[in-house]
Amino acid sequence: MLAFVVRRLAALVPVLFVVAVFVFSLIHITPGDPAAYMLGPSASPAEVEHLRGVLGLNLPLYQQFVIWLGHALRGDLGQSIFMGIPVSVSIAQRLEPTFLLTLLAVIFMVAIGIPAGTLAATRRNTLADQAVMALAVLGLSVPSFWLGLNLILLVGVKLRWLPVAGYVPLAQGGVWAAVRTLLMPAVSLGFINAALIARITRSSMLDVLGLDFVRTARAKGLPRAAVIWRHALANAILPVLTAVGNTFTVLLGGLVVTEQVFAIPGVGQLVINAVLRRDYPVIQGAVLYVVTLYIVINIGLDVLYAAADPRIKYS
Amino acid sequence: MRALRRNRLAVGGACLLGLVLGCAAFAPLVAPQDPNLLRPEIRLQPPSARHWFGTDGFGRDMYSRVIYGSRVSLLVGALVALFTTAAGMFFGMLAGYVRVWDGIIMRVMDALLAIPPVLLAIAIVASLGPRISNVVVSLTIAYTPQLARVLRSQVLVLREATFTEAAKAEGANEWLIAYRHVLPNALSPVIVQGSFTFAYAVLTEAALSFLGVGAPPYVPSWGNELNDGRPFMVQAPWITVFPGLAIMTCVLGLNLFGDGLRDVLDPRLRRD
Repeated sequence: MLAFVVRRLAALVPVLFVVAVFVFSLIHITPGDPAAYMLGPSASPAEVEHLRGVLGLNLPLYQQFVIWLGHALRGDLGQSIFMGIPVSVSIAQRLEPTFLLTLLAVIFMVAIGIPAGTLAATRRNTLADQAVMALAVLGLSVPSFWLGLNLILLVGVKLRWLPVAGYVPLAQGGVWAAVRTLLMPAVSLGFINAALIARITRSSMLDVLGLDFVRTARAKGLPRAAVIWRHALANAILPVLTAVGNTFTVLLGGLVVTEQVFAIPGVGQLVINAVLRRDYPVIQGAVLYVVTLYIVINIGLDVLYAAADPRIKYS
Repeated sequence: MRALRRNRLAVGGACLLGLVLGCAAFAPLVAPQDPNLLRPEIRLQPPSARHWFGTDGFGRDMYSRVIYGSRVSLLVGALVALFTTAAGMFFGMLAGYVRVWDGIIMRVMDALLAIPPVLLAIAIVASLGPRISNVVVSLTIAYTPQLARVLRSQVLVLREATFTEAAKAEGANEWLIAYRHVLPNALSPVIVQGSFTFAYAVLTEAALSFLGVGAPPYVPSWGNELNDGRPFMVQAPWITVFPGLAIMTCVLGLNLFGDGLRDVLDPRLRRD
């Protein structure tokens, strides 16, 4: 097991290196002088020259990369140009709502997607199946931010059940207050993925339900529910888990949009603000951070599968 | 083709797509007004016989704007689908055929796959500037890896197939085999993936425009219209409702069509 983990981590190195090259080049594909571009047209030549010095833009490109990468490896992502604080600090400040929102969205998509997919598979070709599948394809077609806007209008403004926007930190209002502010964002973020999970669960369950051991379990008189939920689902869950891991790219990307819609001060909003202000150290740092997080999550899931299923031997 | 016509999903999807395509192609005829005509005196009017979808915060006719919005979405979606398919075919073939390139190309593709598409596109557009061409470039970079992966895995299987060996035994040129035998047989899943890429591109373009890093603000795109309508969401919900429905219609059509295409072209392959 340890060897497997080490091997997986080693395979990461080239991927992270390419990501680092990409993130580093972002600043250099800007039209013209990056320092002038960041400061905007009102900046004086002296200010531009100063920023060039701070960012090391006068060095040869490869030296800039080596220095930047060296700092990044030690967790130093540079200073925000506009906020004047280290990028790592500004990310850390905004982790709580983002983490909680992601967690709630994953809970939502699993809690809706897996039962819905199971229901559709066990009642194949009935009205329930068709309804679930129609909803799923509809769910894959709804822009999450539009869903969010409509939820705000319906649940927040018309019904007044939940706050329309913002975030109450855990330290300030406790768990329930924080969760309450994130319920609508989590639903709008998780919906598209719930649809995906429902489709995958259905097809995986259909494969398993046709197998002999399910018939055996039924034949020996086990209740239908036990056969479906304990025997069949346990064996159909692996592709679903893989899909959950894959949805993290959609989820982490969706965060940017969802946090903007619901005015949640998270990492996604940090990225957008940085983009609008051309605060490159923050853009670079946040992208690098999110990608690393995504990769770590997926390795974690890989290790979980290996632990859960003795048949899987990664060699 | 006939099988496709018999597939209910594909027909339904094609109908929705046809509707959107018709709007885009005949926008000047379908839309009653110039989508950018500012008439502040009739701002924020609810849907009526004159303005079917109401007017927005600048008094622009929402119906005309939604019609014209289809042009941006379809243009971006189609170009991204086309370019990713071309790039995916190129890199997929290269990786599947040339061992030296395989490692390099696939590591780069893995790295790009690890960056969420929306984030990747935002980062690139932020550097290149909010222009439609830049949105196309960034989405092409974001979605090419999936296609390259699909094609590469097909190529690796087909290279060892019996008909490839037969062609080789007959003394056919290696490159000729690649283009005449392997590539055409590897295309089905690529075409299916391409249709889904079209759908993703439409959704992501709308998200980028909504965030202000997509089409320039003056372009009537669905994402821009949603962004414009946001401040008036409570008093004038129609500004945000109709562009959203339009995005949904377009993407639903693409998804249904893609599902149908997949069932017909490759029954073994499931997106799930």
